[in-house]
Amino acid sequence: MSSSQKARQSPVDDLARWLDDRLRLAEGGRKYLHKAFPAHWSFLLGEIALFSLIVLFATGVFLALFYVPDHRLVVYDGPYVPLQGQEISAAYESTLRLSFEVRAGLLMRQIHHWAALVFVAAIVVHMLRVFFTGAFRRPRELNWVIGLALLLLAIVAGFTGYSLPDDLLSGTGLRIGYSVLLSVPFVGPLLGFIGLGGEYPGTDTLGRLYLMHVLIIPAGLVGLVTAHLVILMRQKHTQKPGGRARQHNVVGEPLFPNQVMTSLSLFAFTVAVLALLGGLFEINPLWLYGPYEPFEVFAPMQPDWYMGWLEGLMRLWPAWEWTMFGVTIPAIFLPGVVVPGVLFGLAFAWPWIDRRWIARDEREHHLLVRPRDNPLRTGIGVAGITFVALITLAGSNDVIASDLGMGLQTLTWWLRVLTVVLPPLAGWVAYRIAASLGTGGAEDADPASPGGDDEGDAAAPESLETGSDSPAGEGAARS
Amino acid sequence: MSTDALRHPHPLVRLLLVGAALITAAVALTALFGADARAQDGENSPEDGAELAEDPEHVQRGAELFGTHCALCHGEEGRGLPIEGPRGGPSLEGVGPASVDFMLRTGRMPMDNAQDRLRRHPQQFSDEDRRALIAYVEQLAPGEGPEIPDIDGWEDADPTRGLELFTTNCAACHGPTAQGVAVGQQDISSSLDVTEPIEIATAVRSGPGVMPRFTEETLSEEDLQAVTAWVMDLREREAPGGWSFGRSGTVAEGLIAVVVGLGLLALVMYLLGESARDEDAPTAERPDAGDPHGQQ
Ligand code: HEC
Ligand code: HEC
Repeated sequence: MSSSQKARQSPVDDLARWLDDRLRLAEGGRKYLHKAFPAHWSFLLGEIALFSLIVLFATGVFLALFYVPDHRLVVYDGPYVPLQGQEISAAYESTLRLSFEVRAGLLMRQIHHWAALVFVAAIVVHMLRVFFTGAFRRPRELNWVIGLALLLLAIVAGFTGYSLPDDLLSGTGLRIGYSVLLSVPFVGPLLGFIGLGGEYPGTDTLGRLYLMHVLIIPAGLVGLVTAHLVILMRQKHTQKPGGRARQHNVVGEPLFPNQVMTSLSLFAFTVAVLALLGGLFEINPLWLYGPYEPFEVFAPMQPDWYMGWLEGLMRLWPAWEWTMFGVTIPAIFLPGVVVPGVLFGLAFAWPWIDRRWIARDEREHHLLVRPRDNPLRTGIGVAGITFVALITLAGSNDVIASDLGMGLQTLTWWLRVLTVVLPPLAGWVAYRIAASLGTGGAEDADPASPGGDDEGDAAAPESLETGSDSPAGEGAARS
Repeated sequence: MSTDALRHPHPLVRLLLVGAALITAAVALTALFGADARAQDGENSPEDGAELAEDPEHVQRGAELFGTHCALCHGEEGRGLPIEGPRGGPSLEGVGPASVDFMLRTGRMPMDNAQDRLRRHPQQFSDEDRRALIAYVEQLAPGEGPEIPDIDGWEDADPTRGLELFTTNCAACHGPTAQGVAVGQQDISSSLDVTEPIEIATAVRSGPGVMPRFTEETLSEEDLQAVTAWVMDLREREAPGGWSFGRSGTVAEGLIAVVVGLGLLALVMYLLGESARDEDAPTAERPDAGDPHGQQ
């Protein structure tokens, strides 16, 4: 900094020096503090997911102080009149207490729930950004896979959390989840036993779910997020072509102070928006639903939005059932296990599929493409989005039918047809549009030439460092 | 350079944004809560169909009204026109005063087209004329259908029991918060948001459309009052958690999370990203590794 005389006196500086002497922070620190972050706004989507996760942890810890994962029945004598004197489970009772008696409990519950919804949404949008700009290509396949694993974990986290309050709705969702688990041939009962403690609703179910929700899944999330970020740090960001961005450099703002400031404000905003939602919008008013009763069913009964696609698959799928090797495969097995498995399998394998059949390109890439630069990938992506959007809609077919004043069967039939017809159509249209916009072959050209539109920027070559700067693998640098 | 960079996230932009978000939310909130505070009409005194049917004056007037408004579909003497098409209506013999009262109060009858779905409309007849029609239909087959239930005193009924009865008997079709939903090809269970207490009672006893008819054996008079109390309570119960957007469940919640939550954040993100680029374009470019500062 400025005056070394003064600096020596400051206790903070002393501490820093002390730490540096022992941990050699400055060496790596300098390097990392000046790491360049590409400034495009879409790069911040992942951060929103990360910050929502932090909010989830913070509020979750608060909720855990009061929640009791216990099926045992107690007589409710809290302030919520309509349930007074009813026998309800201790879990439901503790959730009611959180909502009505614990100071700020309802706020925390609502922020937690909204944060979960926003968390998954941010992951999904982030993933779409990565997909359409080709950011998953070599060498970043691993981070794509980790990202998808994070999405899966996020969904499971949401589902287990949704089931904890033991109100009528959560119990119903759980029962569906349980029957999906059971439907797996041969190992179903074992899975049910491990996951939910056998026969649902059993005395162990909530305990198992709770353990998963507060320990196992968060541990997985933290581990995977860490891996995701470490890999990101090592491989460095991809960047949009154009300007001074090249295959072999990273152009952007230094991590400190610019990017740190941006991230901190984004963090503050994420907290603010989630608090706004939690404070002003009611979510899951479970005191209205009453306690879970195994024999009661419900319509409308929708899970949280990120489970809608699964629910939709089950609603759309015809009730085919068949017997194989003496084991009856329940109708729910295909839409509940096989199709989602295939969908996620394809998504996991995408970087390799893309490399082999779509882009036919094994090289490393650090410059992003625009969706129009690879019409085939864009087309497939749009088809995928259309498909998932349609089955998500189908998950609330009864609500939509009543809003449209349409017959339920008619709507379901239409949705069945649309899920088959519309995705290829939408994909084809996207393909045509992308192809007609044209590219000038930007994707193929990127390692050698800037690949951006504005060649004029070559006027600033002095700011280009072309030393040992190849991001990640040396093979990519062709300067 | 670092001072340059430090001032980069426009504090003004951020402030404005938060302000705008808060104001929008507040306006929306007041508007919605304001709209919710609908005035309730006064209670109508319960009526007795059997008594009405014995009053010639009412029956006389009812016959006239029936001839002009109903016979078109329900046939002379309410025997029904068992035909397909826009003019076919079922026989009304023995449907009971509860059914007629419900159909007329909720404006479901008279229909325009018999093939339409039953829909709630404003009541078409005066109270007196409605009684006349009840009288007329009831005297076609006296005492065979359910009577208009007496739910006087439902205000004092036990909502706890009501909640329990509602979840066991009604929520399967009407939803846990009585929002209504499609329950079959032809049928959409009604939202119970504007239903009058007496209409709840007559609906339960007469079972419109696919809704089952609950007799006194399955749902005693006391139970009925409790259910009524809960439905009314449910609808007026204020939302401690903020705006409840019609209690329409997870579908609306998902939309709000994506549109309001992620939408606001995307806006913030856009401003942050953009402003960063604008300010720093000339100076902040920094090739990453091999950083000159690293060699000092
Ligand atoms: C356009 C034809 C049409 C007209 C006009 C009409 N109705 Fe109906 N009504 C129907 C049909 C069709 C149904 C059967 C509805 C259903 O269950 O889906 C019905 C059902 C009813 C029911 C219920 C019967 C039951 O099973 O409980 C009553 C009561 C009734 N109508 C009374 C009346 C009265 C009173 C009028 C005259 C004010 C009237 N309707 C006018 C077509 C008509
Ligand atoms: C099998 C599903 C089903 C069940 C169970 C059911 N309903 Fe209904 N209910 C319906 C349908 C469908 C309608 C719409 C009827 C129509 O308009 O044709 C309806 C209409 C109503 C209406 C008329 C609302 C209005 O404003 O027009 C009321 C009130 C009502 N139901 C109350 C109840 C109550 C209370 C219970 C429980 C005791 C109950 N329902 C149980 C399906 C059901």
